[in-house]
Amino acid sequence: MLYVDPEVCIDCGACADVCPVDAIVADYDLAVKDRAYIEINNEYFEQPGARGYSAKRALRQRPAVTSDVLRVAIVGTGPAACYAAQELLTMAAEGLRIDMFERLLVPGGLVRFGVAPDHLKTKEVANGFERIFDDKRLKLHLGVDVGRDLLHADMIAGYDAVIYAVGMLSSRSLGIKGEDLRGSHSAAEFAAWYNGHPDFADFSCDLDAERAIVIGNGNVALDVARVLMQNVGDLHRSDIAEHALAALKQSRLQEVVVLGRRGPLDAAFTLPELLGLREREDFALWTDLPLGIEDDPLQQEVTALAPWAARQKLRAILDLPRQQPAGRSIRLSFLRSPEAVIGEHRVEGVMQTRNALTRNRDGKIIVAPTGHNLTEEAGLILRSVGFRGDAIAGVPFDETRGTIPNDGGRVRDPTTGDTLRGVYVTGWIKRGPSGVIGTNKSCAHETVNALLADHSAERLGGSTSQDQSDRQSMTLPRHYELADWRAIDQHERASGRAVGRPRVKLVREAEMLRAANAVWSSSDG
Amino acid sequence: MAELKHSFCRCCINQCSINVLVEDGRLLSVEGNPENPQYKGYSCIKGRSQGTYLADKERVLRPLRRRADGSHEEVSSDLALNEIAEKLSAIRARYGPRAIASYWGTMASVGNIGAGMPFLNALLDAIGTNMRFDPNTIDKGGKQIAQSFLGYWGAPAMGFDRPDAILLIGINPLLTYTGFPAGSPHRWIADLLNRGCKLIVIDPRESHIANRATHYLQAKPGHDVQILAAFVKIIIQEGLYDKEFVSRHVTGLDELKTAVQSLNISDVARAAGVTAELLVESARAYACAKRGYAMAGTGPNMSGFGTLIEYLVLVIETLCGRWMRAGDVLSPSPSLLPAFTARAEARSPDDWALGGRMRVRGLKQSRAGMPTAALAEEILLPGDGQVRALICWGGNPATAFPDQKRVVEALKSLDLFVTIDPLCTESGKLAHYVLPPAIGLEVEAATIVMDWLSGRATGYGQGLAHAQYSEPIVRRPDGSDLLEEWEIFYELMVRMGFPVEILPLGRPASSPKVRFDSRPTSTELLERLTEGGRIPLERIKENPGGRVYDENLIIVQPGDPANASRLDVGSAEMLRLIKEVLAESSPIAENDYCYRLLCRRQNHVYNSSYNRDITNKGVHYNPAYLNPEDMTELGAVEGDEVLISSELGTIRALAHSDRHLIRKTVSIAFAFGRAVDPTAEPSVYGANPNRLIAVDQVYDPYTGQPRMTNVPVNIVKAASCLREFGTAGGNRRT
Repeated sequence: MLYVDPEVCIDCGACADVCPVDAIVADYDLAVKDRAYIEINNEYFEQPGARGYSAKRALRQRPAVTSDVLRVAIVGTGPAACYAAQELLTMAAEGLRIDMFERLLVPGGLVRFGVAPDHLKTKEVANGFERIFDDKRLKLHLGVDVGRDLLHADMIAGYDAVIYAVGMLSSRSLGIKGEDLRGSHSAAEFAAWYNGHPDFADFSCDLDAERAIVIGNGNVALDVARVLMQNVGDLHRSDIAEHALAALKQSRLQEVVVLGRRGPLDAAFTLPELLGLREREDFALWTDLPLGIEDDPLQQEVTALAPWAARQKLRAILDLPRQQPAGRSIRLSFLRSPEAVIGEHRVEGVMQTRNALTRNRDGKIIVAPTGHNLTEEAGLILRSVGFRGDAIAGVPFDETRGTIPNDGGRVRDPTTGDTLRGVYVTGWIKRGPSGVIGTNKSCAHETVNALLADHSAERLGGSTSQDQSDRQSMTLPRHYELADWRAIDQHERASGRAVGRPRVKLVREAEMLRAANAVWSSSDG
Repeated sequence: MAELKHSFCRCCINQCSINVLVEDGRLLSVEGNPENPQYKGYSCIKGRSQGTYLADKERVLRPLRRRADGSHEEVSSDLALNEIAEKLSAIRARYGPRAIASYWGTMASVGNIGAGMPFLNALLDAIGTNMRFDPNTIDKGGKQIAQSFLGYWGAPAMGFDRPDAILLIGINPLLTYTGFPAGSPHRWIADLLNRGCKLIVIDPRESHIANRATHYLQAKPGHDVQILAAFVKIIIQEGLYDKEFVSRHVTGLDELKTAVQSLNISDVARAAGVTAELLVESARAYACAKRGYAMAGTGPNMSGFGTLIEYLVLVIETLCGRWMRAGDVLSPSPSLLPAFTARAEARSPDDWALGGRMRVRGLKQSRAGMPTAALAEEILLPGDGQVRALICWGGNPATAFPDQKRVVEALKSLDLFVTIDPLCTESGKLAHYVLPPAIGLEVEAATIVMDWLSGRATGYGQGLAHAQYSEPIVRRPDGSDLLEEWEIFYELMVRMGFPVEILPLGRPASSPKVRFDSRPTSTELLERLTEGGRIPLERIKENPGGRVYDENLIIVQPGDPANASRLDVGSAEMLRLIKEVLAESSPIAENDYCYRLLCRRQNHVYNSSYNRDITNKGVHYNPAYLNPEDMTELGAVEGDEVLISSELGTIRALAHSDRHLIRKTVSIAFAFGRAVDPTAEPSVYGANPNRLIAVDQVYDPYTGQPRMTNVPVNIVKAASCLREFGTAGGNRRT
């Protein structure tokens, strides 16, 4: 959450203007249900040291605008890629050429396939990205898989610089028994499925059970829990994939458990997500924390030491009911580690160990297993314990972190410690799976600054005319373009209008190609 | 290499001090200047986006001349000016000077008006015409007329100087940048409220400022006269007025008392939809404060009763003694313009009418200006003195004037129509010539207009003696042929064979004119315009980031003890009008039209200018805002097309919900839409409520300002709804 100091704010709206998803709202414009944020914001500044920021700042210094020829490839079309393109387009002039590559036929990355379908406001960030695609200096190449259709070596040869903004597609695994049983999925797959990702068009998800357990308690976990529990009627107004909508209509689920290994102070979700869930009327939110937890001396001790934001979150969690309410509900369960997924042919439940706060030998308070186990029945397990990137052939990769090693966006060869000429990263694949969409803006700013600085210092290759002519002769594999995406987009919106939805997503490539062709053949172009 | 420069913004009349990053004369970015003592870093989305306006692909870069088929061709400024001068001379010779009219609009007031206005006036003086129109009489025209009926105080009002109470009637200074002093309006009011200042807001819409109010009267539209009369009654009855001031300087109290005697406060409150307790509390809160000011905005001035409401405002101000006294220091003393003598004494009322006469509806030129709403009728009425030529500077009559249909017909009928505007606006499309000026940061300027505004009326201008100078810091676009606005008027005078003699702003009419025998440079001109200023221009140039010059501020002098003049709170004519309004039991029932159309502003545009992707975030149009329950009743959801009809016509608009509106009101910003194609897609161009406004039905008898708000309308949901939500490509503006 971003805090704005009410004592200093001149309400010029500059922050609201640059927020791509309209998440910054003036107090007088807050909806009644969001008024709680005024108090949270005020309290933040009552903490000692909260006003220790510099109130005055000079205009952001930017590297010189360059009008030289500069050919950049950006791999990916998600927020990280788009912010990188945006930064480049503002800072470089006529000589800039950007080729943007997308493996799928539709751009957007996490905006289309990661943001929850009912968070339509968040998806408005895409409107800004669409405007980037209109810039004459940028070309969109859809259906080109860098790593398969084009190799890293091609990119190096074809461009002055390449920026990898490929995000993280794979999920971390728990490493426990039964993880691969039918009915156990990663939350990422599940989200990709309900968001209509073509790779998961044939994914099937059985919702014929009373309870689902989500392992992990980040914002993704809360997203999937919400989608599972909410009124299908409300989801109709979202852009959720039709196949998911149909499956959710048949769902028997009554409860989703969101399981956290550590205590409520260490919950990974953010306060606004929690408050959003608390306001829902179609299901209840509760926690199975014991009633006396506030009075536990160890808990009190860690609470006192915890950062302010964590304490706010704890307060909101402790305000939740501690008894199972009637009807559909989401339960926040803390201090439990999954030991094994139980089941013969498919999942039947999760065996868990209870954890507790205890003092280790150094006197530090830690979370440790108590030795008490329990098993909870569940017909659906969603693992939400983090993402990792996939290696691209020829590009250095950090297997432990699942990221591409880099120095401020310049890709580094870990064996030599040197940065690679003309190779950059931005977004999750650069810094790991953290932050909100907007975090990618500053992330891209850093990467593009590095790129432009290298360009001014003539550290990029391709300055010789021979290099330049070689580059211009590079041929791209068969691909689709902006007009195809616009046709698909129009088709999806038109289908949505017919049934009162913002859009009906096309999921299969064949459908997408048909939509693109249909529009083309029906118009003069 | 990029360079950081100081300047001040010229996107509206707030003139924020800004820091600008430029490289090779190209603007990279704009931010507020945190070091500036008046603005403290404030800027708004329009100002921060001004790089877009300078580099706008729709900007006119060379003069345009209309061809026979209605399209425009580019011509050189020399040729355009020669032809315009020749045509003006011919029209003047054949039909007389009155056949030439002028209009300056909002975009003039935010350009380099300090330089342009004296030259426009000089040109019109030389031509000999008083057909000079401006937005005042379709905006807040009641102020100057009301002052004529009350009389004048020889010193300014307390205004922005440490108010303990503020009374705002139908104005939202957080968006208009009038009503609060220059700077961050939000920060200013937040600091005052922290210090215990009372903020009383009367508005049918719970606007942003209403949300901040200590006393908020969400009154139905059309009840301002009654509410303010109730304030007067409470103030007199409870003895809350400044007895010393009133007994020494005021006349007409008994007549006023009689006029409001029969008023029943509970009835007024009930009819307006507020509680009597809150009404009484609000009047007390305002009157009991030691210092304060009241300001009425476009809401009441557009109601058809502007003059009367402004008179009541002045009466309340006078009863409460809100005028500066001997020894008070004038914090916003002019800096670039000369100091003046302020005297704590009354001057008697005078005649509101000036020499000019319209040939329609008996309307007159007044201290508020010519009745702009009647200009189209004047142009279309054949006969002696018919207007044949219109010089339009920074205005867009085709969308901004009420009764758009008639206005467009009138503009099309002109022999010569010239617009001076950076864009080919809806008016420009009808014009014979479009002369594009150099704008904003391309122009060398100083904050003369802030000095000028601060002396205009209560609620305008700045609160401190701030001044700033800016060199031109952005290069004009390559291949452009632009003149500064004043240069256009200068060249026309020369080409028409007139001597160039101007009266700079801020100087009395009797002062000697400044004569130019050759065209000065912009730098030389600025020196002449600021000659005799309270602070020498040289000093102001030494502080490029802007400064408050608070030494030797104007001190109010004692009045002449022998002065017998009085401020008249019992003007017979105004009291007669009050009685008439109060006698009407309820507003006329207009059952076929069960909604009331209200005016409003939007933050990302200045009226309707600066509407770009970067500021409107993809919403190009002006939504018709409705109470959510009315939306449900109409069966409309966000973005649905509705048809809004008045007796005069129907417009297509897109409905949006606004929980801050009372029921059966629709609030929509003016001056959007296309003039020649009024049925153009509202989701692209917006809608123009001016098509619904009749100019000759309900109007203020002095300014001719028609009822432009609280207009009875009917609303239905449009039958087909094949509109696309959102914007797929952001390319929908053509």
